[in-house]
Amino acid sequence: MKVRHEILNGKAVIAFLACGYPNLKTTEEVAYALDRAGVDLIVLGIPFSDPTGEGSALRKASECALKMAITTEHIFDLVQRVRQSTSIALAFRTYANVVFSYGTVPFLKRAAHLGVNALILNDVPYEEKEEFASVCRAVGVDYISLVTPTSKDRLENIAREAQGFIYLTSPSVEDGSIETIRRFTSLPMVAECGAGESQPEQLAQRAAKADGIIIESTIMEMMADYGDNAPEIVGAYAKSVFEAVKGHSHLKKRVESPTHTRVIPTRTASSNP
Amino acid sequence: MSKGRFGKHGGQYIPEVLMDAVIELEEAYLSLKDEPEFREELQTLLNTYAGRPSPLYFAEKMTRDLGGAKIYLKREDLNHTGSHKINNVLGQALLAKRMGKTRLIAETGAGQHGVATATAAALLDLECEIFMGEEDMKRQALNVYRMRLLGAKVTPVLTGTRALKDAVNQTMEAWTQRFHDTHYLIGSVMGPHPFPTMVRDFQAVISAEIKKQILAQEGRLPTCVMACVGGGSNAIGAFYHFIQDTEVRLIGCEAAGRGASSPDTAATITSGRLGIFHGMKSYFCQDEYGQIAPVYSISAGLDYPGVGPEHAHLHDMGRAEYVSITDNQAVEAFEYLSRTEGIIPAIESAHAVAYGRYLAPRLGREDIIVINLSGRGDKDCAAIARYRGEDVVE
Repeated sequence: MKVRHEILNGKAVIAFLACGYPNLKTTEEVAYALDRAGVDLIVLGIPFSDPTGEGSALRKASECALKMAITTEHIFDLVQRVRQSTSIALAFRTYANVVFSYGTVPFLKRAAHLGVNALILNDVPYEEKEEFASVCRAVGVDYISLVTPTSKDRLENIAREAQGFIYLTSPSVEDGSIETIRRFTSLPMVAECGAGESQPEQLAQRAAKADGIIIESTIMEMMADYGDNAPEIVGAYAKSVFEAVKGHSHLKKRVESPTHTRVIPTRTASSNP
Repeated sequence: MSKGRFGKHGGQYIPEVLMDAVIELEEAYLSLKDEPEFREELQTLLNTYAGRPSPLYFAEKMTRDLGGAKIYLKREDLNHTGSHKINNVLGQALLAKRMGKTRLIAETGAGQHGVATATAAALLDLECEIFMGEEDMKRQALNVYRMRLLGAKVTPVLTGTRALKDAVNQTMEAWTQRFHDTHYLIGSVMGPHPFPTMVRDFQAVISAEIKKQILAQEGRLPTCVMACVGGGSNAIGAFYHFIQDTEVRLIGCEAAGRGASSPDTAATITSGRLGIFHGMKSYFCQDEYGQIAPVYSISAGLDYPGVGPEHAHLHDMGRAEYVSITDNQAVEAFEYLSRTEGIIPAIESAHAVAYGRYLAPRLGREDIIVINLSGRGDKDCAAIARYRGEDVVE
């Protein structure tokens, strides 16, 4: 098990970035800003032509990136550059066809080699996960499972087979489900924050119920609104969220240092098969 | 465990949030499909409301003119609402009602499925919202009016290519936001399990009737059965009861648009490759990085970048053949059938007619071709006139 309770050093703050929105250079600079702000993990969204169920902001971001002819290769190159200057934990989030079409094995080998720590697929539920999760296990990448308020009877199986952390989607999963998941796994649970949940204090309260939060829509808005200035603005915002969330944490074991504790320990290329 | 597989194709590749809804649907379908009361209710509607069975018509003039195999037309165009779509829609709408749903949502390309869904919603007192690409709304303005007349809300889809693929995306997204009272009435043999199987079962009435009718009229099975393929619901309906009869050739006719090797095509099996999209593993038109291609066909109903998983499997096994027909061949067939038999086919169905024209003279007089005429062409007249450079005001 690659991810354990490092997260108990404090609540995790995870940030989502849609790669190539508004351009790859900005994505890269925002990634560094998030790292400096203390964010525990960056989820890099690989654009897909037909996103479903993620809202219009994500669709717009994907369209923008694809219009600039940004491909999976460009995003691998981006990860390679980011890896040279930071050891922050990284995850990919995309749609099944992006991985499948590249070749699930070559995609995940490449991702692992570059030091990507986890994979999230929006259109792969528990029932279909093995074709991807088995390859993830082989190359040492955590396959992340999503939980929604409708997961119901399937919570137990999802929780038992989960890796890395449990991703609670927005709108929020009820407390009852969180307790159910706790019975079957010791993995940390992180809650995705929806549109309208942007204030650091609000997010800190949300984080208090789980083991951390994923911020997405506020960052997307900032990327859209501030263009070239986004790295600075997003960095400052992430820092304020980080401080609010960690301030709320009961366990303040975290020692602030440039190489802070991670949700997912970074592996080097040599440790991969 | 993964469900709804046809060989390596099919499955349930959908966001976690929808799993509960498709599990509920599968359970309801499995418990109702063989229930005598449900079957009788559906059969009564099919017979008294939709006008089944549809005739199997011997196209004598066409047969004589082409000078080869005998040609029969399965007249799905004579169904209420003008196409085969009503078979599936009545089945799913009754099912939705039994599940306690009060609202239907659906995607539509040419508008035939939207019209059929709006019709069933009117009949069964269900609320209805249809998602249609803005481009298709222009191409099929009359069907937009028909849907609204039937009481449905028609929501234009402004994303992507503004066609069928984007309408499916948006309907799927609308379903993720509201499924407790809403059934997504998918119009083809596509999407996550149980849709490809369920829609096939509801459309299989076509081949059940063809078999009975051809045996009564000719005393033997046909040499081949052909149908147009977008998602593939009319084709799988026409093929299904012949799949075990291996001497019957099954031929699916895809839309090549401006040519199957051009970028302006929707010929998925001919030019696509294996992928995962819209809930299923199957063949899709896509670029080398798995981005779904913006497909094109003159026919809004075939203008779809994927194909149902059972067709993909029939193709893999070599049980069915898939050919591609260009816009021009389809338009010529549209005009030919109108002139020769006095039947105006839907431009979708004209793709199958086009291949029938090609194949009939190459077969012997003892051979029999059944062409599934999936819909009528009134909706296409203005667009075909424009294609021919005439401006017709609807």
